[in-house]
Order: sequence, then C-alpha cells, then structure tokens
Amino acid sequence: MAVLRGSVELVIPICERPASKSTPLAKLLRWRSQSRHKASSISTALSELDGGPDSSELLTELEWLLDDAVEKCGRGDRDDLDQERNDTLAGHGEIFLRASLEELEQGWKERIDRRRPFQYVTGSSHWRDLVLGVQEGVLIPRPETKQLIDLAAAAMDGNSELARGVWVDLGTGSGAIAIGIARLLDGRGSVIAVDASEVAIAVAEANARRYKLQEAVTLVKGSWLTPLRDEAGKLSGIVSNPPYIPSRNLGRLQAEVGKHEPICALDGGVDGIDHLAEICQGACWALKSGGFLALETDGGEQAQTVAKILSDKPFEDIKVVKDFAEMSRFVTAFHT
Amino acid sequence: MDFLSPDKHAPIPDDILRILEKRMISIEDRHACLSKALLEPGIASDELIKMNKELRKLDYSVDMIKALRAKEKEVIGLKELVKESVEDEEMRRLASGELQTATREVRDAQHDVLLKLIPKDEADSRGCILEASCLICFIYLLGAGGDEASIFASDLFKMYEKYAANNSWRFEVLSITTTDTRGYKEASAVISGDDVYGALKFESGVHRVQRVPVTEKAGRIHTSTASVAILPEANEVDVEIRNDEIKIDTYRAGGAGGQHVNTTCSAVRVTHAPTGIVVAIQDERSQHKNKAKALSILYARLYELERSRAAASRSELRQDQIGSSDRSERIRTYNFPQGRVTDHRVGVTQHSIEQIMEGIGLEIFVNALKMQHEASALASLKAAAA
Repeated sequence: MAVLRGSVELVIPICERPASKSTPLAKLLRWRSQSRHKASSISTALSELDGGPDSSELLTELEWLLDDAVEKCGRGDRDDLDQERNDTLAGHGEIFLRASLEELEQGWKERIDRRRPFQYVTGSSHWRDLVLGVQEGVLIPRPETKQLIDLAAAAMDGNSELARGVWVDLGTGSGAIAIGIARLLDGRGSVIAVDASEVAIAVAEANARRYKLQEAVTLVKGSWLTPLRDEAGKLSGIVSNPPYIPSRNLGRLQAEVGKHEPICALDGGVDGIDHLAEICQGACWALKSGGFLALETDGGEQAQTVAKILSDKPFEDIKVVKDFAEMSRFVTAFHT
Repeated sequence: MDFLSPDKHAPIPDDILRILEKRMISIEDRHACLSKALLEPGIASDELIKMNKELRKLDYSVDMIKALRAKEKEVIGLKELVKESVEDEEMRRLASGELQTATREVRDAQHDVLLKLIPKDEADSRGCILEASCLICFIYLLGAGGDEASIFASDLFKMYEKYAANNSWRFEVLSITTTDTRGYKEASAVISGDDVYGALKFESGVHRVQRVPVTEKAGRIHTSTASVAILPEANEVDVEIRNDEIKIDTYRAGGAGGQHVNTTCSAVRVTHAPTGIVVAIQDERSQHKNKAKALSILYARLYELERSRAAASRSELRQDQIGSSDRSERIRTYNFPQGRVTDHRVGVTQHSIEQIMEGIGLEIFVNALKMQHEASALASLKAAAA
C-alpha cells in the first residue's frame, strides 16, 4: 500500500494499514506452518555465506511479520490454534489482516529467496524507542547509530545553550537521527535534516509527522552542507552517519545490504572517508563557536583518520568513542 | 451501673499486684522526697533543674496512683456497706451494684498504672537499636510434633491475631501450612503498629499446652508444645543497579558492524558483576526494548535475591530462637482443664484461659516480664556502679 508524496510513492508500514483483508484462519496457519518449515531448513546456510540471517532469526521475523499483519491473534493464540486439527479449525472462520495472505506470501518469498530486508517487507524499522517507516531507497537505521543521540545529549548537558540552537542531521535517510535529536531539544531548538535523495526526504518527513515533529524538523534536499550556506557560523550541532564503507568492500556485503539498500547511502569512496572529510570541512564554517560535531565512521582506523583530520582544523576536545561492541566507532569534537 | 459492657481488662493476678504495690510505694516515696528537697535553700541551679524535671515526670504517675488508691478505698467502703446492709434488701442490691462498678474501675485504674509505670524507652533502647525504632515484627509459629501440637499452634496464632486486633495493630498473614486435622504446622504473619516488637518480643519461645485433645477419644490429658518466634522486621528490601556493575553485550559476532550489517537480531545480554546474574533477552524488536526488558528482569531477580536473603537470615534468627523444641524449655503453660495460664519466667498465673485465648490479658504477662527485665537491668547497673 502506498501514498503519493510529490513524485515519491510512500509505502505505508503493514502495522499501520487497516485490517481490511481477510482469509480463512486455517489457510493462514497452513501458510505459517509451511513458512516455518522453510525458515528452519535454512539453518546456518546464509549466515555462513555472507553473514546473513540464520533460521532462528528468520523464525522470529516470521512471527513479527504476523504480529504486524494479523489483527487480534497474537503469537500465543497462533501457537494454540496450531495444535488443533485442521477440521476443527474450519469452523473458526475468517481472520482479519492488514496485508492480504497473497501479500504475505509474496513478502516472505522475497525475504527468503531474494534476501529482501525484513524491514522493507514490513515497511517498518524498530529503532531506539521509535517505529519508523522505511522502504527501498532509504537506509535502514543501524543499532550503533543510536549512540549518536546519546552523544548529542551529553553535549547538551555540558552546555545547555546548545539545546536552544539549530542542529543538523546530514544524510538523514529515514530521519532517525533528526527525530532523535528533535526529541532531545523538546521544542527549545530545531533540526534541519538534509538528504540528496528525494525518497529519503519524503520518508523522513512522513516519520517526523508520525512523531508530531513536523514543526521541529525541516527537510532540505541537497548535498551535505552546501544548501546551508545561510546558516554559516550559526549551527549548534552537526550529527551525521554518512556513507563510510570503502568502495572495494561493497561487493562483499551481505545480500540484504548490498543488493537492496541504497548504495549511495553506503559508498564512502576509496577509503570510505570521502563524505566524512567533506563534512569535516563544512563543519569549520557552519558551526558556531562551541558548536558540537558527532560522526559515525567505519570504526578503528577510519575513526582515527577522521580525528586526525579534525585536529588540523579549528576543533578542540576531539574524542574517539567506542560502540557497544568495543569498536572505536564515533568521533566527536567542539568547534573552537 | 452498666451490666452489659464486657470487662475491658482481665483481673490482675495477685503476684503482679504485689509487685505493682511495691512500685507505687517507691514512686510515692520518691515524689515526697523530691518535693521536700526542693524546699531546702541553697540548691545549685543545674541540680534544681534536674530535680524539678524528675518531679514533674513523677507528678503524672503520682496522680494516677492517688486516683487508684481513692478507688480502692471506695471499694473497701462499699464492701463494708454490703456486709452491713444484710437486713436491707434494697440497700444491699444498690450497694452490690455499685461495688461491681467500682471493682471494675479499680481494675482499669490498676491497668493504667501498670502500663504507665513500665519505663518504656530506656529498657527497650538499651539493648537494640532495631527494637527502639521497630514498628513491624514478624511472628512465626511452629506446630510440628503431631496433630495436637499443630492444633495448639493454630489456637495460638488466632490468639495473637485477636491480641493484635485489640491493640489496633495490623495483622497480615504471610503463610499458613495446614494439616489434615485443620491444625497449623507452620504459620507466619507480619504485625505492624506502635511498638509491636517491644510488646511481643517476650512471646518467643516454647509454649506448652495441657488438655484433652480434640482427636483424643479416651479423654486423657496430653501435653504438647508449639514454638513461637518473634523477629523485628528490618527495612524494606532495597535494590540498586549501578551502571559500573553491569555489562551489556549485544551478541555481535565481531566483524565490521555498522553500515555493513542488516540484522533484525537485537538480542541483549546484561551481566550483573557482583552477583553474576545474566539476563539475555531477544524477543523485542529493538535493542533498546530488549535492553529495557533485560534490566527490568535483572531488577526483579535482584529484588527476589534480596528478599530471600532477608528471609534466610530471618530464618536463621528464627532457628536460634526456637532452638530445640524441648519441653523443658517452655516459657508458658496453658492448662485448659484447670483454666489457667502460667508464665514460668516471672511465675505469674492468670486464671482466665478463655480470655487469654481471645487475646485479652497477654499484656499482664508482658508488663510483668518488662518489669522483671528492667529490674534485672537496674540490678546489673547497680552492681556495675558498686
């Protein structure tokens, strides 16, 4: 199900669609049972291949898909009903769905056969405490990226003035970071979310609206800080998760990522630092004095490189911060 | 004249009355002595203040004692009157009625004096900090050793329940393990109210019953025992999870992570270093939610651990108190055929076992025990000062 926003077809997450379809319960359970078998048979084949999902992940995803699609029949109920024999189920009648059985069948087939990301199948991504709409053309928010919000919060704690200013999310994609920061600002400041992709702009705007932040978040189409010349020297904070994968590594990504997510959101150039470097450059003139910069990187050596770049520019208190897997993932700094 | 209202208090046994009389005399003496001394000239001002303070404290007690003596005199007078008016039917009836009322009033006054004369704070705070601040205590009954023992345990439990009600304390049953014959093998409750521990602490020990059990067919008297343990309840269980004590794992197998990976698996494992408790959650759809869930489960587990630790130490205390349920260690005997209850520690007997089992009259034992406790404490103080 989709809605036209400008020239973009905006996908409505399954969990938000009306339960206007229906199917005989027995048929749904039969399909569920078959899908479980198929998922189980995968075992570790995909994870060994390219770090893809194993059967326990797929089985969990199947249940989540049903959670989103099926009205009034939770996991427990589904398990209970499964135990009964088929002929007794015949009397149970129709069950209401937010996505038709055909759509579910199609979606699951794509998941297994084509490795289509689960989040695109359901049209939603659970990130932090948000449920964001996502679709092809927008990067699915990563769990590591959550930490950027925490880092921004820490900066605001250290200098409450920052919370009253303008923050920028460069390469907003689904709008995850922009929404996270807008919630921190809580009306005191505002957020500008920039992305070069029209699909991203439409999706991010819909997500901001989802969280009633359409006033707090302004969407701007363009490349990094170029469209924000007028804000020179005025920004309180710049936060970004720009594409940082070295081009040579793109071919080895797991299929969900490499074959389905937008390459422009992943490709960081030769050493993966092309966009990071450009942002660091722009931050010099864009941030006000005392303004905060936080960047997500490919980790390890790349993080050190970014820190080095900043050390040759008007920045102080440059830090490399580890993520939950103990990888040096983030670089933060304050404009002098 | 009020024939319908029930006795507020059970009659005080003679042995207690004797102790009470002694106390009252010594207070009256002390009061008189201080009053006279304050009239002397040339007393230092701080000494004056001290003496005056003590005198004021004794004033209240002395007033109560005076009131009691007046009532006692009245009773004596009425008794005389009843004797003298043998001829006069009408007169005798009136006098008898008034005698009854007056006797009851004397009993009430005796109770008030008794309660007033027991020094509270000093005795209780001398030994244990916990006692002085204790508004909650935990009562545990053990009726092991046969059907009769467990039936007796249930009788005692109900007695304490009624005693608590009479004192407007809250009695909250924690657990009861019953037997086939509706006795209590084990029972426990939390009692809360003003100074409950101070009032109930003397109940700890072995209680002995002598009666014909309900299960006995031949009508023979049996002796059984039940154990009571009274424990002060410590503070509320408090659990704190400190950030530097927990480690959060996100099951990432290593590798690049970040933009390289698209996984729906957001499993989180929280390890609590001090206890070694590990909670792993993966069923929520975001790491955020899994982490929140893991932490709340960790909290619940730590809380449970603390509670059982508190209960275990309580259990140890309980074991110490109950000790061996040896019949020779009994603190009190309840003799139903003879209708009396004897506390062996103070040698006090009450002849109203029905009332005792209804929770009325236990304070007599308590007060006697408190006085004994205080007396021995004073004695040891004197000995130390000598």
